Amino acid sequence: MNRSAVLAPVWLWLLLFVALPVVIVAALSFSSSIPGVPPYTPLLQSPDPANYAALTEDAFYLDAALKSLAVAGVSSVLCLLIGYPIALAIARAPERWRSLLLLGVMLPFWTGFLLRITAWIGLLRDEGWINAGLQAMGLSALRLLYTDFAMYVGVTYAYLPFMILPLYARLSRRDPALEEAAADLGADPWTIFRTVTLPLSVPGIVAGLALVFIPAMGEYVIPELLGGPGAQTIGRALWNEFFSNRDWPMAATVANALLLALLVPMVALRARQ
Amino acid sequence: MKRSWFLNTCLLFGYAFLYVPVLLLVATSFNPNRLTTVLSGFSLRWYAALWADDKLIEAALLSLRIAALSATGATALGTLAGYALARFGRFRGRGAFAALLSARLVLPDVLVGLSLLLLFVQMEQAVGWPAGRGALTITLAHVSVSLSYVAVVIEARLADAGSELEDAAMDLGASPWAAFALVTLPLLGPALLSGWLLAFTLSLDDLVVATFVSGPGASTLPMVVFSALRLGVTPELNALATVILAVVSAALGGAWLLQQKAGRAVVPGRAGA
Amino acid sequence: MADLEIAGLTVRYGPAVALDRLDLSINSGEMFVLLGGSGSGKTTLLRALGGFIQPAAGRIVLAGQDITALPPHRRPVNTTFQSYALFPHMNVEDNVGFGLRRQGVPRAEIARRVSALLDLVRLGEFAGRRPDALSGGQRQRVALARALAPRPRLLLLDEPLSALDRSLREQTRQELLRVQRETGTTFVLVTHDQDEALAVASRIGLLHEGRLAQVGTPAEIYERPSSRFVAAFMGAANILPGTVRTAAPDAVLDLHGIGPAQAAGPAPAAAGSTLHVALRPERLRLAPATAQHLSTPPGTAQGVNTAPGTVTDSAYRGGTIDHQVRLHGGAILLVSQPLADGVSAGLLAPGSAVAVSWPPEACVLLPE
Repeated sequence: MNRSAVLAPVWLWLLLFVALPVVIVAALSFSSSIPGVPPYTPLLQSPDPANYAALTEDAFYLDAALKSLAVAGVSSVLCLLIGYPIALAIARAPERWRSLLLLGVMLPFWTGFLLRITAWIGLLRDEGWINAGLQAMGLSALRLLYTDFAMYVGVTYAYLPFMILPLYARLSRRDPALEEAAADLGADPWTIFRTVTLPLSVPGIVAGLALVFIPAMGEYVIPELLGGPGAQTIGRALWNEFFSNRDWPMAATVANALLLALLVPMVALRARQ
Repeated sequence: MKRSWFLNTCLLFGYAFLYVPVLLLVATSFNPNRLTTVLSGFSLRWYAALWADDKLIEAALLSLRIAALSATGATALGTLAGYALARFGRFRGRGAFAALLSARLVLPDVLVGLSLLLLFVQMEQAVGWPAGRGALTITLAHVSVSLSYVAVVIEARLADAGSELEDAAMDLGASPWAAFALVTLPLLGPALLSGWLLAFTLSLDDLVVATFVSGPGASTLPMVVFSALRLGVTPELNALATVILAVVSAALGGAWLLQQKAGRAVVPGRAGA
Repeated sequence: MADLEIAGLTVRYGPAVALDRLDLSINSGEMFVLLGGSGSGKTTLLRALGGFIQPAAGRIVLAGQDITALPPHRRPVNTTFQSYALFPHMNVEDNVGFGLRRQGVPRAEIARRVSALLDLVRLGEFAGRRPDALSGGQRQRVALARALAPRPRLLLLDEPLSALDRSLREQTRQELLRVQRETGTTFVLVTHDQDEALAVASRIGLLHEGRLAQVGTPAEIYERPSSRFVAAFMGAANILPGTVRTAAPDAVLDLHGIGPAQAAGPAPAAAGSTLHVALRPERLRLAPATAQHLSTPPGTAQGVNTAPGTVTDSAYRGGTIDHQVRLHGGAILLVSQPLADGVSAGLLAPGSAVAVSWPPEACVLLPE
């Protein structure tokens, strides 16, 4: 087959719709905001690092970065703690059950992202199911919705399959003979897990952490819908610069900074694949 | 090795975590009472309201149209990309090619949305196309996001199948294109379908990218749902979620049964965030 | 002294019986080979000894201790797995030291014992390598050293040579025997290859459909198979039905498709009953037929059984020439003749008239 006939359309598309936009974002971050259409000075006319100065000087952005780091860090660790036993249990289930069990994990996630958040709002809000349960037990209601707690739970819930799938892929390929060999050599079940199963699943753990951490860093919707007004993450900051302040160059600057920060976990992910 | 009760307990709690919110949402949707946690009977009241909501229906139709179009485009391009990765060995620029493809899998939506919007604005300025923003730009954006997912599915399938069948076809006198059309494509049938469905659901589910690249008048279903959710959950949204859940469960369950009959393990794709 | 006693061991997979009330005792320091085809239960028996499957009934007693209910990690039994199952994330040294660390052996002692074991399997300079940087033969030796490290009372080897090239196999087989001699450990080795079993075993247990078909030294199993199955499994190509004419002192038989034949020793059945006789191809002799052969019927003269026939096929096998001979009585025999000086002059063309002869001792009588 003529290779260039296959490669050319894909290359064209990737360069136009993946690479070029990144270059434009980088260029725009050096422009200034002006009233008009489009609302910025022409690209690369007079490059000005003022936006980056603002980014580093304004504590708002640093706080947003730390908040996003907390959201992504906490939720990717929670996903790992919840997802690992699930992935291992599925990987160890009898072969004929595995695909059904995996389907069971995936099903809630095919129902739509926003609708999953809807379900959590129904659980967490002041007159929601959890508070109804607390009150039925004679306890006082808690403020749950629009808190950091709600945000962590929501992100963990939303990204759990991104953790389970790579972990399962890794764990289901493990050689049962290795665990038997460890048992044979005197390792009890916990030692087998610690010395054989866990170390061998590290690539799956890294992939899962990266697949949760990277998108969670830029998450906008969940902090907006479940988090409080104080939960200013990078995603919300970017969104507000763009849609509320109409400061496109500043939004591009935030985007560029986020992209650079995510290069580290992205390279780690690629190295593991 | 005997099944560990610990793992099974984790699996049980994991499924509870995944399903309890969804099941409560379903229960609420049949509740005639606006105070959602007080179940006071069974009613299809909110389903009727849903059916009468023209704005929602219109948005849903637009979403379906964009999803079908973008899934088709993404499947065409993604198949070429997956084929190149699986069959062309170490072609020139493979590293960059794979990196650009996989970047889309993990980049936060806000980055993708902002960068694509800026691309469309610059293109309109430079070449006058695409004129304005709306369904067309959303479709283009969704193709460029989903094609990476399709490429992964196709590459995995081709890598599993090996190239012997194509070699055999060419050995028997088929030209490379004939071998692709007569052997590779039929072999890819199920993967093409799952790739298309994955792209379709990713598009249906997307809020953030669509919001960035959309223009006035083009509101997709997630955009309408999101603006409603910002004001709080309505029983109508619960009904909508239940309808989608039912459709998705039926489709996935059917696909699983079909694949069980065909004797092939189901590999559910990932829903987007 | 019996080291390992297996009594009434039964293993079921659902309704299928993999091991059926098996009894076996294995002596201390033995190289015992479990031989059998696929599905014979040999791997099941090995896994039951290792503790990886629980028997439905029966007992396993090792050195006086009942280990039937012990999980694998509490048994003084170690295994080399067919795939070797070396931990890919640990180097050779850490693989070999794994079992010692589990026993809580002090660090310095572990280092000393690991290095002694690596010397034993001649892998001293590979201590720091990862398993994926080793050849198949080296991995096999690491697996052996790792399984020996905890000083097991019993070492189980699951098809230890099957993953190796033919050329490596002989060498590794010698290594295994040397290590077994030097450590004095009881080895139980599983294989499907009867040549391998004959070459290494002190005793062989031949498994068939979850039962032991025969247990004995290689010579006993090869020369005095107790049944048709054992004879066929051990490579006897010619197994013929016959009728006992005279039972004792030396049996005289009527072999179907051949004629009368003299055996050495009494028949295991009374005159008039039927049995099977195995004639090993290498015990048969072939001579161009003379006029005398053609005129006399098959029978025994001067202590040698003779039958005339025609060569239907011949194959040059390097060390031997194999002829297929259709006897006038109808039976087809495979005759394997050694090639004296590697000269293929002995090759007989199909259609050649020949006489097949064999001494009475070559008739192996198989009870029904």
